[in-house]
Amino acid sequence: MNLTAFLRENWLQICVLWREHLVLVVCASLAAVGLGVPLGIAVAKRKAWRGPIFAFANVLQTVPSLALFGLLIPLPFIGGIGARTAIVALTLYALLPIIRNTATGILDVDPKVRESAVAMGMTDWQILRQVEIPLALNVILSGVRVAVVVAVGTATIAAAIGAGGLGTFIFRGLRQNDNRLLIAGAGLSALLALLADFSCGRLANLFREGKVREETSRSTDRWLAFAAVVLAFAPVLLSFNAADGTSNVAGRRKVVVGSKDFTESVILAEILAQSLEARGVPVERKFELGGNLAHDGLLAKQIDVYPEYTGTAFTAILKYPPMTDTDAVYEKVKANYAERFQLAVGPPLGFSNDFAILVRKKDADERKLKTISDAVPVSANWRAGFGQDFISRADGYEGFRKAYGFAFSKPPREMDLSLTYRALAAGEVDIIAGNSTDGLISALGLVQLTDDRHYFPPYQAVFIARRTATDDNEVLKTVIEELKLAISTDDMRRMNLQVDGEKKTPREVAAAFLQTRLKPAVSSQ
Amino acid sequence: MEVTVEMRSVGLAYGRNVVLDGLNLRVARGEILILLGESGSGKTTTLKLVNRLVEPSKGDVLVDGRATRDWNPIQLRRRIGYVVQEAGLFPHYTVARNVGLVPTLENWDEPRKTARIKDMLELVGLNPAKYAGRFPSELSGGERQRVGVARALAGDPDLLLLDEPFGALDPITRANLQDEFLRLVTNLKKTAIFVTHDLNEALRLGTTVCLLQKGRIVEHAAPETFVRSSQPYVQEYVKTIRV
Repeated sequence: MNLTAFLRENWLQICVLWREHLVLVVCASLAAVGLGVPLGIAVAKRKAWRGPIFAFANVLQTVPSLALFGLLIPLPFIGGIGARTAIVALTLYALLPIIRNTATGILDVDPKVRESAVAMGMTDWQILRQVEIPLALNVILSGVRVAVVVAVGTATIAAAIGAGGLGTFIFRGLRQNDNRLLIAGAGLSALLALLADFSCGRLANLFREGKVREETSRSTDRWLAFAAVVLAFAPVLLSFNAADGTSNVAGRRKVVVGSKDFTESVILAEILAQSLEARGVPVERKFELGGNLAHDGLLAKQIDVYPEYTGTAFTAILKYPPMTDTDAVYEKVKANYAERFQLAVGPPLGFSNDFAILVRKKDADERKLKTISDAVPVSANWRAGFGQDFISRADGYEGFRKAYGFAFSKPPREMDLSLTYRALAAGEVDIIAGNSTDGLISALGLVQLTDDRHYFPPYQAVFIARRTATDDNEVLKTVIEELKLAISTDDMRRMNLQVDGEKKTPREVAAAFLQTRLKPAVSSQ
Repeated sequence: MEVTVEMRSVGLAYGRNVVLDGLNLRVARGEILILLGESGSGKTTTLKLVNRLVEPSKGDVLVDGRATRDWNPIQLRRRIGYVVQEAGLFPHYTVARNVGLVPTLENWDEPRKTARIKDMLELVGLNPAKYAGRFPSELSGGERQRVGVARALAGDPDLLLLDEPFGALDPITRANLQDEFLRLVTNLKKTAIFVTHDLNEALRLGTTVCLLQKGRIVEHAAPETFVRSSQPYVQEYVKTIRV
């Protein structure tokens, strides 16, 4: 399927993402102007405030955007997952150019002009409104323009905290090794940035007074600005056709289903969501949440249920040292979650997604590698590539290296997990830690080495739900019970490949799975 | 003699830096007082004391018999016309809006304001039909200065303060504007305080000339008496125009 066909097939979803993106940018830009212009004026008028305000805005600008999003999540009122947090973060980012340009514009007003304004008997407010702001407007507006364009770009990261927008395509494209998604996401946000830049420029021209204005006629500006704005908002109107209709079942409390930000988690969440919908329970999907955001979302009551792995819960969330006994891990997680978080851990889904140490098939064949121990003697000059997760977690790289006695000559390259498969296939690294159910393993011709020392803890897939959600909703409880041991490792690998390799949507794949596997259960309702 | 502006032992210091010291001045109604001096002599600061752009640290500045610190500064300033070098016109306002600034601030009704703008432009020798819609950037230096004077006169103030208004103009334009200024102020019976470092200009325009040096008054007299002063600093100044 080429890009045009992809765009034709997904245009409704594109319109929805475009709208979400636009809402983020417009809200954040308006808030940043509302906050930044007064702060800029304060900076210009009060020398003492200049240092602190600029320091504040500068520091905000230097915080990496994903980190800023992350830092905001635990805060009350503004935090949490979703659009609100993203808007707050984008607003903070957009502040600096607006504050700086407002202050510069006002400080640059000819002192003689200001002095005559005072001497003519204008009040401070009149001077600000009638002299300083109009004369600084040009500079202020170019600051706003920069802020808006930066916001369009930064808003792509908002997808990582469940705020949607065109970044959803970019993240998904990276994870699923799908260039069409990447190109569509990046290309469309670039297009939106160009439209925003152009309409800001034209609109700014309309506001200018006197000779400061550029030499195009006012009516041309008006038409061009209007055209650009129409173009930017057109997909918004179309997007309302895309209301999925599933979440509008009257009279029943909806269930908010979350997922982590990788294919398997999305498929599992989709299976749960569709099972609920088949029983008439309205569902809201908050998928593709990065890091431990899904867990944070449960605690913050912003989602009701999401798929998790016992090993992750055990080490990354409960902070226990790794353990290899599958049942003991499950029981301990279940007891601890109930006690510490009031969260219910559902029964195992039937497969584990363990860490899989992977090498290229060519290397495995040539050197006769079967187990991880086989690789140790030949690996001195290898370059390892690991996801951030594997490098940082307790049961990850450090323990793994020690358990097997690896001595790589170069430190491992830290990269996005989804990129490690491609990096391995392309020969940029020689050994990676992937996931055992990943569809890319067979798609890219990679080989998993056996964990002969049983270092890696078990990662059984389970659903984790807020207890109040299951108590309130019998159907949710039933559906989670019914999915017990319903999905085998082969099922999961196949479904992952269908999404990552065959480019089907998780929704289609989940629907097909439910059709074949759970038909009796669904139709019995 | 009716006194418009009076300074009583006025001093001004920023920390240990003394700008003005022991200033005593009286400006009578209808008088044109010239404040003459080198840069840094305190002449512009003295001017700014009158409309309270600067406040004295010692002594009193009185306008119409009332200390400036007792005036509402906004009201005080709207009674006083102010002209600076390069005119200080608002670059984003047309000539008409610049001239109509004080009438607008004082909420004059539209017909009265329009008429006033037209009168003022005619008064300073600019054809209203031609100039009203232009922006300051479209004017010559001399034209800008005329608009500056028109703006200062629009609110019909009795007192005008001028800070080297003709300093940046070529000699011929300057001479023309000086003549017109003199005619205007005399005809309209305005009082004016005029800052310059140019002795020629001072002698040509002033009813009295006040020479400042390092924040003190060296000599204050009518032009004829001023040039014959025995003060060595005055003589030094006078010599410059004889050369």
